[in-house]
Amino acid sequence: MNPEYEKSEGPGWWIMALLVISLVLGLALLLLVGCQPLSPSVRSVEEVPFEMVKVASDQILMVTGDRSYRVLLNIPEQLPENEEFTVSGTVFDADGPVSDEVRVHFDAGMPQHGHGLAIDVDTERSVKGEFLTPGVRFHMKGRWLLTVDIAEGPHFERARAWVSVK
Amino acid sequence: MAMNKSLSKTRLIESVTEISLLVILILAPILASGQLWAATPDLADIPVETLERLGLFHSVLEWPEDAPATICGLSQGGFALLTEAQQLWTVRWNESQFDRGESQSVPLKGKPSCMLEWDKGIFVIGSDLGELVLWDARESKVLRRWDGWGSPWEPVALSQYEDPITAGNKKETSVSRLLVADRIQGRVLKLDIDSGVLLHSWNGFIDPTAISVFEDQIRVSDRGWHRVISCMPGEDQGRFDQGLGDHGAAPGLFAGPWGLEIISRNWMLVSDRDNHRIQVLGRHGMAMHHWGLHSLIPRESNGRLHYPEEIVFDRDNMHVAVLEPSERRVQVFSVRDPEMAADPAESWQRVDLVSHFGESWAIDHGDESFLLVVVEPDSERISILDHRQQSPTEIDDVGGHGTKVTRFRTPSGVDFMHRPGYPRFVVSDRGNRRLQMFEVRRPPSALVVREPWITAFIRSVDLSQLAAMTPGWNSDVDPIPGAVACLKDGQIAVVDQGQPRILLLNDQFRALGLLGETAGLKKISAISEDGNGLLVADSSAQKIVRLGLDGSVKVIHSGSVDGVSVQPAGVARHADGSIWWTDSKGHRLLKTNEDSGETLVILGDTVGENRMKTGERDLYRPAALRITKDGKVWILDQGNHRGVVLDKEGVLKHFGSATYLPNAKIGTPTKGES
Repeated sequence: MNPEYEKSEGPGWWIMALLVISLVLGLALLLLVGCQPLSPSVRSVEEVPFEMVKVASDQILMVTGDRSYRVLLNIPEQLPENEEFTVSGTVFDADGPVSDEVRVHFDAGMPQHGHGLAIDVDTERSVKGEFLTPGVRFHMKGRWLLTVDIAEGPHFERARAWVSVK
Repeated sequence: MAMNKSLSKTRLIESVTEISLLVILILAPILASGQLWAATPDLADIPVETLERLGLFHSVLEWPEDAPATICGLSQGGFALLTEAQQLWTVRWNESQFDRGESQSVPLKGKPSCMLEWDKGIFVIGSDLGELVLWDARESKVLRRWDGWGSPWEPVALSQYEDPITAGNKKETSVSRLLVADRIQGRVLKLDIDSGVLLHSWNGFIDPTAISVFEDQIRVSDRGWHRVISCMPGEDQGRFDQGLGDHGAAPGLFAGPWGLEIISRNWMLVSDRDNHRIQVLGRHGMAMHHWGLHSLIPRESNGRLHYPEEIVFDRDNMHVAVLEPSERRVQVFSVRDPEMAADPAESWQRVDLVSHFGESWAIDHGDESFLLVVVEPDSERISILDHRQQSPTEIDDVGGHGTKVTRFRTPSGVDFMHRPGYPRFVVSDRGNRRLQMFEVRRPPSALVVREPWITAFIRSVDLSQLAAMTPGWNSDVDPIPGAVACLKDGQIAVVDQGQPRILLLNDQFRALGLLGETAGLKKISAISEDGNGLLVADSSAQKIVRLGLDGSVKVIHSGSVDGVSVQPAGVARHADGSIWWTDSKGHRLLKTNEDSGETLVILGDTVGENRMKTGERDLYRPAALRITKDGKVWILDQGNHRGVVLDKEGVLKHFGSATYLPNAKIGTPTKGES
């Protein structure tokens, strides 16, 4: 004896059609949401024009928040992981390279991981706005935030840029 | 014969040697223990086992109508307490509880800030307007009064020190000296109490809060350094590098150390204000024991602590009295019975500092305003929140304790700048004597996702250096930045807490000028932009004043409201032209009509009706006030750890700690009240 439900009529064609349409729409929406960038977790170059502009393959042009200073940073294009290297650069103000009295400090960190460089570094000033930071070591892969702090008398400004260690 | 003689001599020597050794072996432990005992007599006075059991809640004494300002121990046991209304109470132990005696009025110019019983019935009392008074409580009269030494100062802590007088290399006698901590100039002074002559000073403090002396030890707690610091005779600086503690929540670390009592040669009590606990520390910094935990429900006592400040150790009765000015009470703790289990709160391990709304907050001025920044004093951070939700959501934070750029040592004011582009805010940092500017690189349309990097540091300025190189700004005291207001034309106004004046800077932190030096201001608690001028709240003068950038001064309000004295803590102008302000003493939100001078109570007019003061229209020690373009009034209800928003239609919205919200289901908070 067949069960009762086998004799009953199945769902109408219009119900099936509705189900198919809902499925297609749902998939389309999911695709749309999934493809949308999580702005601004990755900022585009247009948002902060000067920070990510590379002047040469092994240089980065950084600008302080109020654009009082520009920093031309010499840094390897392919950043080594867990190897020491030296970062150097030149700081400019509106009149050219900054004076010898201006203090400069380079540093880096991974804000998403809540840490800085594993070993603190010191920055040595030189003439014509130049500076040198030996002993920089990015000890893990990922996005690193570079900062160059510039102090002149009582005033202090910061330039920052992102790099990626692959 | 000669050989025998020689043998007996040898035996004699051997016997003597053996006996000597025996005597030494027997006496050595006794002598050693005697030496140990002599070296640590205090352990005989207060055994370690007793100290470990300190912290049993005994009772609570409340002053609901008149906030207690300062306490000190009494030579014959108990403690004295002085209220903001300058009423001096003596509280004595009577069989099984502390009883209040009669009170007497002490004439002071300002709000009492510290007190010490100098001799039986004779008190030294300091006020926040830089005065010291020698008060005879037996005769109810002022014996002597000092107003300082010509430069701004504020006594915040007192102690008595026996200064040894030596002749040659021999100590002959000693003379009692008064030690005073000066908050404005960050120093500890040694004074001759008879002549008022300044004999010595220890400098380099940021925000000293208490002094305690035991034999030759002088220690000072400092909530800027977050340490307990030693002062050595003959030196002119505190020993900051050797200070006990640092900023943090683990045992042995502090968040705003305040009261300090050295109770024996080796042990001291420290009230760890922003960690809401009392710590028992060894002289080398070892954390032996602590008690206290933040109140879980509003106004809760029963051993729970809420911003404990001064402490008094009553050696005779083995009690600790803890002053909590924010709750207007003193809680008394005793020694737990050895058989009694410790309160679970005592063994609770904190993993991080608890986040609180501080005294300051600000809202961005963009057309699509979405940011709220809040000063978090416990962790010395600035929280950045998206305020569009029912309960604002944190999207980033900056700071943490320290001197490096982006860090703070007591952030004391914050405001958003008026400018296009990404919102920027300015933070004043009292401990580091500097201003810092940050930019939140997030458009209002961005998804609410917490990111640790969206807030970028832009610039800072060292105000001590800036003042030194700016004509007219130079003075005996470095600027101590407090409240901040950013004007629409780009100027930035910063209160100098060291002296009642306002520093004006441009948006690059370059000095522009000064304001309010001759306006008769006493203690500026808040400022806000007001077109071509500033609105100023003066907590000590009980005034709301408008300062024009042209130098004009207009008093908007002065004195009490509805017969209740006020302590203005926040001020802003409403779009309808009226001036709104908060009264932290009377727990009210007030509105003054500038033309008529009439002042109305808008919120908090429920005095006596709701003891908890957490109802919908209640406030408890309200602080900062901001009014947005859409006419919403944002009140930082600091004492309730919540925000209150009043819109144009009079509808109220609350957000913050769940137990402090109006409809929270909470039980009876206290027991053992006296």
